[in-house]
Amino acid sequence: MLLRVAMLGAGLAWAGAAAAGEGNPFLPVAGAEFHSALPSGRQDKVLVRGFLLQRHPVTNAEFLAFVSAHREWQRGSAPRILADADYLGHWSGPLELGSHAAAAQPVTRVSWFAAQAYCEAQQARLPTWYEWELAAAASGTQRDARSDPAWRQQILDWYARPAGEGLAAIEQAAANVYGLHDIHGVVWEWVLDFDSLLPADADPERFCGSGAQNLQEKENYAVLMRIALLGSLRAADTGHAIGFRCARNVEATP
Amino acid sequence: MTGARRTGLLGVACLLGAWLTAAAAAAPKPQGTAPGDFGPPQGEPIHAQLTSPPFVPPPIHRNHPAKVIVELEVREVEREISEGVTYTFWTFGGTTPGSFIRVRQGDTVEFHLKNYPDNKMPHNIDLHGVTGPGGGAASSFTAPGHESQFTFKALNQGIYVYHCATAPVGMHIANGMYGLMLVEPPAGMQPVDHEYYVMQGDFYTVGKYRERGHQEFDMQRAIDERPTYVLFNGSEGSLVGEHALKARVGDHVRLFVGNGGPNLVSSFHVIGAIFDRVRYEGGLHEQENVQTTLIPAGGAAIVEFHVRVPGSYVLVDHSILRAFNKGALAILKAEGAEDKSIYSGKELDSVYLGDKAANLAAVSEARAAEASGTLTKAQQIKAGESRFTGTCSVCHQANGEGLPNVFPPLARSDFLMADKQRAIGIVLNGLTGKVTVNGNVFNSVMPPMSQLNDDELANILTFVRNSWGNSGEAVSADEVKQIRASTRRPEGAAH
Amino acid sequence: MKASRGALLGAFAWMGALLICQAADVPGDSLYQLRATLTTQEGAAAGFDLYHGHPAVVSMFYGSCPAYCPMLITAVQVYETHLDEASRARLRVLLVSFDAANDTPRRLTQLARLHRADPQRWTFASAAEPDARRIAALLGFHYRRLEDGSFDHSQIITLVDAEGRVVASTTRLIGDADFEAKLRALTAAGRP
Repeated sequence: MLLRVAMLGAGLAWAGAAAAGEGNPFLPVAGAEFHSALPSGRQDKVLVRGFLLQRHPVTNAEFLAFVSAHREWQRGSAPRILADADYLGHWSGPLELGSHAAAAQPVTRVSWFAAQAYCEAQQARLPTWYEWELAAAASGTQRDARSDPAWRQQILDWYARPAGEGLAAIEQAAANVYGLHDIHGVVWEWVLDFDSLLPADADPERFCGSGAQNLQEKENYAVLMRIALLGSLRAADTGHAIGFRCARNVEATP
Repeated sequence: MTGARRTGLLGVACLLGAWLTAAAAAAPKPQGTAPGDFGPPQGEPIHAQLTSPPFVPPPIHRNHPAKVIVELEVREVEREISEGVTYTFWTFGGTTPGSFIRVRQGDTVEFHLKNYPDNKMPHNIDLHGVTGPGGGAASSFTAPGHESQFTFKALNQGIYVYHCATAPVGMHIANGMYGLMLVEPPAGMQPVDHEYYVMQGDFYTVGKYRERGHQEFDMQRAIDERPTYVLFNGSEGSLVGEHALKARVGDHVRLFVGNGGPNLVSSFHVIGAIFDRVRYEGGLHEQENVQTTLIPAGGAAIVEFHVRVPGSYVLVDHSILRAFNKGALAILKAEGAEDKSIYSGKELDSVYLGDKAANLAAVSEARAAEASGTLTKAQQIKAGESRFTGTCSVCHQANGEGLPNVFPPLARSDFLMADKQRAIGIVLNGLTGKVTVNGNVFNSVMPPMSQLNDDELANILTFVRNSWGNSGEAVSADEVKQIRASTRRPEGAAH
Repeated sequence: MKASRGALLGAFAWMGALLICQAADVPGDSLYQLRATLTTQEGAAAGFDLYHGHPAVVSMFYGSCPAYCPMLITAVQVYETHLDEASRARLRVLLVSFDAANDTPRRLTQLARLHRADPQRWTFASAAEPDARRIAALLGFHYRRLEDGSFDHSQIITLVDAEGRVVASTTRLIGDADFEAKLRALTAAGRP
């Protein structure tokens, strides 16, 4: 246990230094025709255009810089309708991280509105579900590792651990083929269309009935659970294990 | 209490019960549009007392519908599923099965579902006793750190399963998200001496049965319906030994038995008892005089029986390999005076149940000593004896003499003591074919015992090699580990 | 000396408050806390708080919608018929399209004319991304573009008071008695 704490501390310090020096660049993800877990009208695959995605989830340090420059998003100033009562609750002050929020940990307890506002301030946006799903299908060696049982099991293993265990710093584990870190295994991540993933008319039964029937690749529990988690949230909600990273259109690179 | 007085009291109780039932049955008339709707709640709202298994809240003594507030918290917790094996359970109220809910038919239930902030998953609840979309699932989908509330009227009496219905439903249920809600009939239930809450479930892990360490959920096994464990109340030791259910001779026992699944149907049987009454499928009608009753996945039943002689009554799923090879076994220990005219035999604990009912104190002591590096031969021998009883003694007998022409002796056995490594290999991998022991030829089949862990096997062999005239050095867990790694298990054997 | 310093501090505090609390003129639970830009049927830019100061019905739609959206517009008009003339005059209706690419000001004007919407009280507008997504998230409205260019979307009609606070919402196009009652109460005479 002590060893784990020491390693966490060392990792956080190193990652803090690394993150401070290198920032959070937008890396390219090539477009593809893609089998999504979501139904998409009469098509079998969706065409996802190439896009850019940040290398790691936005950290506490990065988010602190944002709220320092955007008062309206500081804890206490953001209206309840855009961020719930637990917004940045783990920080020791509206502009202070404190001992429970290391600089190099992914920022959590941020609402969808706050995340989107952060991204807009970087001339970016939240990734769409399809974009995120495409980037997340990759392992260290393959673009699409979704039929690899080891890939699935690794994700399910993370789901099985309650969130209270302590958040890892960014970039502790290896990147996937796109060079992206921590797509799995650290925090859930907001996407732009998080609340519109399942057929709108299936609302009351979407968790057991037609929504579940409509999902393709039903055996892919790893993806199903992510869809379920996003579906349980409203835009002003925050969560102990929910963070985000930003995306850009390829043409929009400043 | 003498037989005559008991009969007398029973008679009075019966008459009283009958009168009360008649009176109460006459009293509530459905007022709303549905049968079982006795109108709006009356009196102050009641905060429901929920209990953890195997206990249930006390019977309801109320003659009017009330508003009942139920607050249930979902917690994702890591706990032992079997000795030395941990698993992450997703629970209602911190236990698998979840807290027992008890209300009266016609009650208006205000249900609060809370999702503990450090949980990772969203959850909801589908109560089979709810008339409404998803059984409440549609109205209770809750993200971590949030709470949902919905209200329903308990229109139907009965014993109902509740479970999480968040996609993927199979995984949420497989991780332990189920429990029971009892909706009492308006007249209440006949008083009994004990009521207990037992719920069966199947569990799917990446590792094999009893493979030590933290085990993860195995999705493919769940889809293939190949459970690693089939358990009552979420863990292998939950209702044995000091945790066994208790009763006294003469008691009238009622069991609320549920089956959370996710996949298997239960053939529920209590060894040594016949069910006087079974409300099969938890419905309104009863069957009498039943040996084994089917409980569907996602279903429940109420069984009742009288304890007439002392001893251990063994609750099993009579798809019997689930009981002895996957853990679907629980004990009700009854104490009191014997009645030889009904049953004259001995305790069935040690032989029939094997290591399930063994006194495991010596085993725990040995394990602790091994962890701290202080394990002695004497401790190994004591722990080994515990494990030998009921596992090896079934064939080789408690005195190590075996059975002439059938099972070789271990007492003063030249074959056994000649080669330590060979002995380890035989226990791990079994043995078929001719062997000569103390001048006699045996040609039998010994099954592999590889489900025993390294330390268990080492302790058993140390005991055997130092009992009944044998004298030899101890066997270490490392030696067993080496042989296990360097030899192959036969088809179908455990790791 | 002390008094003037106090006055100076007070002035700074007031200015700071103005700077910090840009939306201090609406309560914390008002939808108008969201800053979003709309393009009206006249082609003008307007804020999402266009109807701040009036009770308003707000919903989302898209112009190429085959069946539901025309029904939505008619439904709102039917709810309006349950009001007396004075109450109706107090009500505003804001319909926001999430398909800005196709629902140009010209298209919106056509729609408004087709449904004979009262231009004094109704506005058909479109919102570009990400404003459209933000308004939808605020209203609890879901929409998703499908591969063939059509949209899969939910249905919700929201009623807000003059300060932008949600008073009622309904997913039913007709016959929601509770919604009607709240609409009537909100637009009755004497309401602020």
